[in-house]
Amino acid sequence: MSAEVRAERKDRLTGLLALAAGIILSAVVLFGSTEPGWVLNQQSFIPYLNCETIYEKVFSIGLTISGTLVAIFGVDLIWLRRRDVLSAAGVLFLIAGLISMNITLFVSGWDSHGMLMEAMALCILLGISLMNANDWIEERFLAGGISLVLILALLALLIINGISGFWVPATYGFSAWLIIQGLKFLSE
Amino acid sequence: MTDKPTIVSAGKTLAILGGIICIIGTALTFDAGSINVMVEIGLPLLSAVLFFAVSGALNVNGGMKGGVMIFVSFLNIAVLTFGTIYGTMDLYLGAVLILLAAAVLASISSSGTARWIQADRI
Repeated sequence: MSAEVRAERKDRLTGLLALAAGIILSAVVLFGSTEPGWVLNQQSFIPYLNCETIYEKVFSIGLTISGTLVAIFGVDLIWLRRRDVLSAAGVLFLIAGLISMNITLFVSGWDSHGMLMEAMALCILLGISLMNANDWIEERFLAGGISLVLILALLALLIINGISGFWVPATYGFSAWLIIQGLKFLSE
Repeated sequence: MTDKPTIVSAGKTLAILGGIICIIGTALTFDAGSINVMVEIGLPLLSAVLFFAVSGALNVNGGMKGGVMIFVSFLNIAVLTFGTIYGTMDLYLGAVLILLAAAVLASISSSGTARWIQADRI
């Protein structure tokens, strides 16, 4: 297999992973929000063992699957070996995905839950910023520009609403960003 | 000397208009007693600077590359979105300015502008 074909397949795989993670994440948030009284906040990201309603269970399983896909997406970005910036972003997404899996799948208590959530959000934010820088370096103007607008819009929402009102736009924003990245890699 | 394409002139005019509206908007909404006065003045002025930077780059002898102009335009849209959501700008004013910035971006991204930048801008 030639190097060109291999690179194309790697890009395709990366795109499919990002697309799947984004669609699953937005779908589970949409499904969760159909439950009366359900609020998406830091306490919504609960371990599967602590779930009581079907909505919580679906949200928790969806997060585990999405987190796994984001972690593989991170490994894939490192595997692409195209640029150091992309590899660094891959490491951050790998950590974020593993934390998401850890919160929803392996842990049954609330030990350091808040700290893990903050670490996950920070990793995702840094990863997105690095990917955005990489988009501008590689002159992918549309993906880079849309990501830039998304990042600043989320920042404004974070400043206005504080961390409590941050999770809804952040989750939708992140899934939208994943879908954009997926389409970008697939169209290459 | 080659004639400037209409789309370039349109982009330049819209960018100048955007910059002027930004400054007028800042003057109209200025409130010296506000706690956030620096942000309320700084964000629209930053946007005005970005509008004028793009309009300057669309001049003959402008120095910015096409990619940089697209980056500046996207940054402008991002700053205007931030300002509108944050509340430093009136919602309708922000919407009009975002539309103007998007129109400037569309003008810069067109193939006619790219050809003019590469071949005839000097």
